[in-house]
Amino acid sequence: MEFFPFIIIICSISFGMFFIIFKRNNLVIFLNSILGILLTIYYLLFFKDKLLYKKNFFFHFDKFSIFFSLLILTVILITSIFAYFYLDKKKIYVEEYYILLLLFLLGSVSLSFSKHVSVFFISIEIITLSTVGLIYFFNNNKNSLEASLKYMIFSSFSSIFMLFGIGIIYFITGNLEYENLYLIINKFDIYKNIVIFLGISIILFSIFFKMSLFPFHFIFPDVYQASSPLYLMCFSTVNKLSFFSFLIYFFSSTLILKINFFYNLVQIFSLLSIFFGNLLALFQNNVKRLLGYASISQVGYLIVAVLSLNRFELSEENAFFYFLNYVICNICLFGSFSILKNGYIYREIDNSFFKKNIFSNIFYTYPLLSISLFIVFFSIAGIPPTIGFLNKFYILSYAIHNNFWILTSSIIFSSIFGTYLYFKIIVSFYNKIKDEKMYRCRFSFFENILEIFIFIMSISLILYNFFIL
Amino acid sequence: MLPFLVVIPLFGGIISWFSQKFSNKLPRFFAIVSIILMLLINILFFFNDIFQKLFFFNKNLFNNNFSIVCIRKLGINFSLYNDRFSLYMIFLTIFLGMVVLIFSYNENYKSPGKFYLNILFLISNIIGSFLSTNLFFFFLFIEIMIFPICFLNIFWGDNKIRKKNNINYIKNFFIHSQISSMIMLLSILLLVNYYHTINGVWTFEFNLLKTVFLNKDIIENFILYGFLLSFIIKMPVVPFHTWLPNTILYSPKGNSVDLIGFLSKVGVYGLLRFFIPISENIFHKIQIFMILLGIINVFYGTFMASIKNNLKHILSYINISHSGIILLSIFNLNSLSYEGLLLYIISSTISSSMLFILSNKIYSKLNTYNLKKMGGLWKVLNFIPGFFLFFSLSNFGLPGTGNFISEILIFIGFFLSYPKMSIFFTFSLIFFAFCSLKMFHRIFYGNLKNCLKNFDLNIFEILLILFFAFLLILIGLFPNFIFYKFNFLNIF
Repeated sequence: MEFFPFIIIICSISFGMFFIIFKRNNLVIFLNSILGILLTIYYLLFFKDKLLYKKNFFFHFDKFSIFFSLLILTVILITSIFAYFYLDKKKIYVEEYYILLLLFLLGSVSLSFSKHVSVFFISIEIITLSTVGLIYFFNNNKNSLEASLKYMIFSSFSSIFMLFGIGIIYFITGNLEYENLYLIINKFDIYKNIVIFLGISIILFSIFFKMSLFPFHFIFPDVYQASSPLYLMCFSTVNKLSFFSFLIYFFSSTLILKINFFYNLVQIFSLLSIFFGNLLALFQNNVKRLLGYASISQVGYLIVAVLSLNRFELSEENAFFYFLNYVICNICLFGSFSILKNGYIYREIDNSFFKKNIFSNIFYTYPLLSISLFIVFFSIAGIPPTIGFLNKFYILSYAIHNNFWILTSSIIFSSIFGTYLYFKIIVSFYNKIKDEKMYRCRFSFFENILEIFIFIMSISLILYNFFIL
Repeated sequence: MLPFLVVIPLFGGIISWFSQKFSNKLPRFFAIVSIILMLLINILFFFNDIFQKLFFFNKNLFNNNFSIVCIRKLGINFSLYNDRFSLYMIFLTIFLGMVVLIFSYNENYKSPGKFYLNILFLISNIIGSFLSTNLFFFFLFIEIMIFPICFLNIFWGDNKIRKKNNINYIKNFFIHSQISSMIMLLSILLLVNYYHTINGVWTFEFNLLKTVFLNKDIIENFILYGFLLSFIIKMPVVPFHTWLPNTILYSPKGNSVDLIGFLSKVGVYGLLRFFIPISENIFHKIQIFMILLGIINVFYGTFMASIKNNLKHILSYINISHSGIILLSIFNLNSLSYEGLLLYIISSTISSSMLFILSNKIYSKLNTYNLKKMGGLWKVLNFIPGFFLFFSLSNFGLPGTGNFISEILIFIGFFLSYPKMSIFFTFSLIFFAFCSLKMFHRIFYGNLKNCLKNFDLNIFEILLILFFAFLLILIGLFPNFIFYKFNFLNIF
C-alpha cells in the first residue's frame, strides 16, 4: 500500500519511454505524465489516514512529509503544464523532458518520505542525475554546459563526502535508521565520542551543499544563470522542499538539535547565508544570477523557520505558510520569465540588467504580469500587505524571544539590503524607453491563461493573510 | 465610524484608479469626493456631543475606541483610539490633502488614476498611524507609507529638474526610512518580549505595554534609544536630515506638502505618544543633550537657509529648524511649552506647507527654483506675493499669528527651566527673520529679470489660502479654542 505513489510514478516513466520508442508525440507524453502526477496526488490526499500510521523499514509518513510531497507534486504539475505550451512551439525532440522531470519528482518524493539512509542516498543521486540533464536541455550556450558540468562534479564530491559520513556512522552503530542514532548517542557518552560528531557534521555539510547555504553556495548562481526558467521553476522549489522535509524528520527523529553543538552549527550557517546572500546579490548585474544569490538568503530564513519548530507560538503554522510563500513566489517569478521568453524582452535578460533597464516598458506592454511580479517581489522582500512580512515578523520575534542577537542583526541588515534590491527591480518596470526592440509580442490564448493563473497565484499572497489571522 | 477614516481613502483610491479607464477627469473627482466624506466624518467627531444632542445620533457611532482581534496568540488587535491630539493631526492631514488635490487640479499627470491612488493611499496610511494604539499596526502603517512617496517621486517627479541623479536622492530617502523603520520594529519586538518575560502574556497593545517599568539594563536602554533614533530620523533632526531637501526638490508639484505636513509629523507624534510615556528612566539623562540638539538644529537650519539659492532648499531647511524647536519643546517637560507645542505643530505645518504650494505656483510660471533668476515679481503677479509675504512673516512668528503665540509659550516654558540657555536661544528669532526676509526680498523686489504675463489663482485656491490665513490669525488671537476639551495628561 505504502509503495503506491512510487509505483505510479515509475509506471508513468516507463510508459513514457515506451511511447518515445514507438512514436514521438508531445501531447501523449504530456498527458501521461499529468495522469501519473494526478493519480499520486489523489492517492496521497484520500488515503492519507491509512498511510499515516503505517510502519515501514524504508519510508515514514507524517503530516509534514505528506504536506511537502503534495507541494512538490503540484509544483511539478504546474511546471509540466507550463512546459507543454512552451515546448509545443519548439521543433526539436523534447519528449525526454517530461521523463527527466518525472525522475526528478521520484527522487524528491522518495527523499521526503525517506526513513533509512540508503533511500536517502539513492534519492539524492536520482535528483542530481536528472538535474544535470535538465540544466543542459534546451540551451546550447557555453554557460549551461559549464554549469551542468560544474554541478555534476561538485555534487559528486559532496555525495562522496556524504558516503564517508554514512560509513563512519555505520562503523560505530551498525545500523542506518535515523531513529537508532538517538539511542546510540544516548548510549555512549557523546562528548567523548568525536567520531559520531564528525560523521553527522559531514552529512550535514553535504546537505548544506545541496541546499546552497552560504559557504557552499558557489555553483548555484551559475546554475540559476545558465538554466532555463522552466526548469528553475521546479529546481528552486522542489529541491529545497524535499531537503527540508527530510531535515524536519531527521531533526525530530534523531533529536540532534538538543545537542548545542549541532544547533549552533545549523544556526551559524543559516545566519551567514541570510546575511551574505542578500549582500552578494547587491553587486550582480544579471537578474537570474541576482535571484540565485537572493534565494540563498531565503533558504537561510527557511532553516530558521525549521529551527523554530516547537520553540515558539505559531511556529508550525508559520513554517507551513513560509514554505507556501516560497513556492508561490518562485513559481510566479519563473513562470512569468518563461512566458516572457517567447517575447523579445527575454533575450536581453541574460545581459547586463540594471544598465540597460531590461524590465523597462514591461508595465505598459504586459500590465497584468507586471502587477503580479510587483506583488511577488514585495512578498519576497517582506513588505507589509503580503504574507512575506508576517513570516519575517515571526522569525524576528522568535529570534528576539530566544535572545539570538547575531541572528536578529543579520536578519535586519539583510532585510534592508533585500528591500533595496527588489525596490530597484520594481522601479525598472515602469521606465519608458523608446526602443524598437521592445515592441509588444502578442501572447497566444494559452499564454494568456497562464498569465491569469500567475495573477491569481500572486493575489493569493495577499489573501492568505486573512486566513492566517 | 473610526475605521471609516482609514478605509474611505483606500477604497476611494482604488475606485479612482479604475475610473481612469473611462475618462481622465473622473479620478480627481472621486478623490475629492472621498476627501470631503472624510472631512465630514472628522467634523462629526469634533463636535460629537453637540451633534448627538441635535440629531439624536446613536452614541456607539462615535465611540472613541475600536478594536478587532487579528492574531489571538500574539495579542495583535486592529485597535484604534481617538483623542483630541490625534483628531487635530487627522484634521490637518485631511485639510492639507484637500489642498494638494485642489492645487493639482489643473495639472495633467501622466496617468491620473494611479497618481490619486498613491496620494489617497498615503493619506490613509498616515491617518492609520495617527489612530492606531497597537504597536504592530502602527509599525505597519509607517512601513507602507514609504512606498507611495517613493512612487510619487519616481514616476511623477519633476521632469524638468530631473537628471540621472534623481533616483539617487530617492534611494537616500528610502534607505533612511527603511533603517528607521527596522530599528523601530526591533525595539517594538524587544519591548513586547520584555513584557512577555514579566507577565507571561503576548500583547502589542501600548496601553498595557506602557505599564512596564524598564530597568537600566542594556536591552531596556536599547529599546528606548531605538525608539528615539527611529523617530528622530523621521522628524528629521540634524545628523539624519540629508534625505529631506532633495526629496522635496524632486517631488511632484503637490506632493511636497504631504512630505512636510505629514511625514515629519509622524515622528513628532510617535515621540509624544510612544516614547515619552515609557522613557522615565533615561529622560533626565538625555534631556539636556536633546535640547542642545534642538538648538543646533535651529541654528544650522537657518544658517543653511540663508546660504542656499534654491527656493525649495531654503524652505526645507527652515522646516528642519522648525523641527528643532519642536524637539526642544518636547524634551523641555513643562506644561506651558507643551501647550505651545500643540499650537506650533498646527501653525508651522500650515504656514510652511502654504509656502511650498505658493513656491510651486511660482515655479509653474518661471520654470526655476533658482533665486538668482527671480526678482521683481511683485509687479507681475497679483495675489501670490501678498500671500507669500503673509505666510513667510507668520513663519518666523509675526505677532498676531499662531506661530507667535506658540513660540512665546515655548520660550516662556524654556525660560522657566533653563533661563541662561533660553536667553542665548532667543537670538535664533533674528536668524529666522533674516533668512525669510532675505528670501522674500530676492524673489519679489529688485529688477524684473523675466518677461511674464499676469496670472491669477483660481477662486477655490484663493478661498483655501484665505481660509488658512484666517485660521492662523484666529489661532494667534484666540488660541483657547484649540484647547476645547483638550487635556494634556491624555497624551501620556
